[in-house]
Amino acid sequence: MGSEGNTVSSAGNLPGGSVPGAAPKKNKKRRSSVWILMMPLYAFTLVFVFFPLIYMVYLSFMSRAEVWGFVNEFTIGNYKRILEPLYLGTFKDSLKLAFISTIVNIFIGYPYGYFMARLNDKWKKIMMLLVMIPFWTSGLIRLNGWIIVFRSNGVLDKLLMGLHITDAPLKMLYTYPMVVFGMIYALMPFMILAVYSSAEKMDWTLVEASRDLGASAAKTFFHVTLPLTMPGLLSGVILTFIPSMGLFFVADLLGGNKIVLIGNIIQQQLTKGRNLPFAAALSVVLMVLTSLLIALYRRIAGTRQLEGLI
Amino acid sequence: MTDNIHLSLKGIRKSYEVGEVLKGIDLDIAQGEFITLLGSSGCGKTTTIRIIAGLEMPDEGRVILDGTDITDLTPEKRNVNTIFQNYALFPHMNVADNVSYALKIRKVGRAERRAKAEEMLKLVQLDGYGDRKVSELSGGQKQRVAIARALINEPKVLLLDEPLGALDLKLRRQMQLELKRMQKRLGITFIYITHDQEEAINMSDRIAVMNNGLFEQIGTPDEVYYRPKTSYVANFVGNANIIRENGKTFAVRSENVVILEKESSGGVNTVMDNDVSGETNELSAVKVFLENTGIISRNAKVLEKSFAGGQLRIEFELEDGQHVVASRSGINSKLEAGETTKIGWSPENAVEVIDDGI
Repeated sequence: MGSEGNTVSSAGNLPGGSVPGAAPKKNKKRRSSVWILMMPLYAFTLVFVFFPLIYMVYLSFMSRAEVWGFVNEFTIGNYKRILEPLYLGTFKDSLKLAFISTIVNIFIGYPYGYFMARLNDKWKKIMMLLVMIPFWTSGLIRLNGWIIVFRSNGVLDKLLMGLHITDAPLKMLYTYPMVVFGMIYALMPFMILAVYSSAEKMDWTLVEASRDLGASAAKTFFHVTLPLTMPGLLSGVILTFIPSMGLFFVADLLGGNKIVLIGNIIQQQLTKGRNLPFAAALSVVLMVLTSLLIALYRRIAGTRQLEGLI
Repeated sequence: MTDNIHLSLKGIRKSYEVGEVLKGIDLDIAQGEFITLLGSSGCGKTTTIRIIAGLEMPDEGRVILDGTDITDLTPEKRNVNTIFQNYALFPHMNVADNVSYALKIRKVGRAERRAKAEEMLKLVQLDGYGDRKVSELSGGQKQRVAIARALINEPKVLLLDEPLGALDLKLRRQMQLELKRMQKRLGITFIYITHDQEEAINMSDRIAVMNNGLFEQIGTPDEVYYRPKTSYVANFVGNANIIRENGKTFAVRSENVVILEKESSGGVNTVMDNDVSGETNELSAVKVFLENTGIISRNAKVLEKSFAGGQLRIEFELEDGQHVVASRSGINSKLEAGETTKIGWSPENAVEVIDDGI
């Protein structure tokens, strides 16, 4: 369902195709052979990132066709329409949900990733496996699994009622918290892995040195551990915050029709609404918004290097 | 030194999964002393200072600093600082912030912190380096920053875990002298870890030779070098030959092994002078020498000659199969591998030691 919508919105999440482009730039001066080796990458980036992006921007300024596709008539109407309260409100709701799920992800994912990095090799593998196992099945199937658990008179309700903790179904499914839960669930591994990769590289003797120099465990965390794992944490934030706004199927499955995120609107405009230019305009705005957020993070962090990103 | 005890380890034991690392060690250290824990890797020396620093808890035993039991205190509550083997400088801070980290933790004001950091950097001859990044420093400079950072707290005891291990030989020699000078000037107690006996002898007031989780001998460099108590100490510190005769074990340093025959190229431990012409003459001179010095001669076969550390080393095999190394200045010898000769050592150069199988 809506696989096109998915492609558009996920392409929109890439910050200007600069990811694959940045590395070869540095090597350019060194040797021409490197250039030749990098050519396929450039070509790939050009064809699959840059051109679609340009096309999407172009599309967003075109007019809607009667049935399908678009008409080559310049308009800024699509962008004007985004300013309507309905769409602005959706952007606000999406940001709010992304914000909440990211905060929760930080508070659960950071400790998990951090302590996983401190474990011995055997336990590290076990904990890593627990993070990775969900990836072995499709996200849609896993979300359907949660529906079975959370729906009225579902597994959880039966369990709670059986234990006489509750005496009526809780009606948890198709609520806002449920969508937040689904979002956190879907994106938690990214936070964990980003923090883990940072914490894993951190030299533990720095913590000992800090303690040795008179800092308590808490002070050591804020003065040494947190700054040194900040690149991982920020990558985790970006990896969870941005998809939170676009993962329309989470809102679809766990929120019913009640919770509409920006990703849902893009998907609906593309499929049901058959309004390609408007979907493109929404995607462009989402992309600009997320790019601004990344720039902001980088400014705050004062770091140009985000773990595994950019 | 009983009334001057500053830091005291009492019956420290520590075990890990791999086994017992410290088997009940006792050590009394005087105020302002430079004491070196010398031993090969895995002997427990690092665990010992980690216990003093509070980074490791002993299974048994107490750590007493100035009469106070600090065994159960967390590291930040001990007036003891450590120089880590890899320096452990904070990569996200510049040099000045690294040095003044302890002050920042104590909420000292920014200007005062900066001034104090500059003062400490001057002490380690890095004035003006405050704004540099840690990654821009050389190994020797990092070492100095680590020292400045540890000393800013004015610790009672400074623990140094093989601090010069990563430096090249020339820089290491220079830093040895500097550290020693600094320690004398500041009057801080240094507990220094190394596996390099030269370093230990050069710098220490006392050396505690560690082996297998225990102190084999604690004494001045002279004591451990000239009067080793055990065969391990003799071998590790003095590089001595361990010779077992008549149920006793002796340590004989290689420069005290005298070659009595067929070797007349003027080394310090040959009997003969260069102008010796005939064999008869040589033998009679040997006889006189042996009578005068009380040296007992032994037949020995030359196994190998090598030149190392400015010295010629000749390895012999005695008739009972024991190997003995003689060393002297010079780069070559008339003796060839496979030849037999006579070697010996005077009784006063053979120190009887407790045999611990090494």
